[in-house]
Amino acid sequence: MLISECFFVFVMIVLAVISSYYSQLKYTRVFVPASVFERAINELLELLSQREVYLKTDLGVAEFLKRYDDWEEFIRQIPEPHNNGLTVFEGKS
Amino acid sequence: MLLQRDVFVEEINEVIFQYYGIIPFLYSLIFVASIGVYKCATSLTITSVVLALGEYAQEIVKRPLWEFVAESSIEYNYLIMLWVGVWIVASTVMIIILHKLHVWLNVTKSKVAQVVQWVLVVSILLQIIKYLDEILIQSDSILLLYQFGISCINICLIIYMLYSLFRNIFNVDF
Repeated sequence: MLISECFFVFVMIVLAVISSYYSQLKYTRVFVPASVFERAINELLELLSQREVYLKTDLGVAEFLKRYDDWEEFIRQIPEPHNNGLTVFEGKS
Repeated sequence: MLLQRDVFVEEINEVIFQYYGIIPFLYSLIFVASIGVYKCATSLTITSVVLALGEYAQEIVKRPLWEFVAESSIEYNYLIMLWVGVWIVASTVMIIILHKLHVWLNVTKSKVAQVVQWVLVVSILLQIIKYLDEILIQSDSILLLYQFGISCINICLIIYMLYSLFRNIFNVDF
């Protein structure tokens, strides 16, 4: 075999090894721990009690809440007067 | 040498173009059905969309590449290198993207995704074997293995994806 053919076979085998490596990798969905979530919610409630905050403008918290399946329901459960001015997105994530 | 290339081109013509257009359509169908059922990104939707896009891209490249291989005056060894190299690189890219999409979208990698990845690895190995056979042995049995293997992979993958979809929708377990 020519050198070019040997090199080609070598490169293709390297690609096969890389493919095998990625094939055996597992990935499990990462959930945010409940304690972190609770802390964030407490901070949000604290924020809401101090001033009128629209969740739409508070992107950091909004993005955090969007990770949860029940975030919309959770926001609805926030009692008065904390939910004053709080808006639930119409278009869900 | 010209005869050898003609035989190769004929073999490729038989193997590659017999499912022309059907496979990406079926993957798209699986993608639409699964996104309709789950209403969110799942491992099955990610896998089907990657396979569908990969197959569509390959359909676009296949015909001009095959015509180039069939008609070009470049040395046969380099042509077969080009042909095999393109499909191996395409399969590798699909495997990596499949894994990365699961990580980026934070979706658990299912058995379906892993099976698809391993099947793509097998297709890469088949391509390497086919290449070695073309330049060294030119055996009929390896030709049969390649022809049967590629066809079998395409059909089995479609059946397995459909099975996974129906199993999740109707709780059917064969």
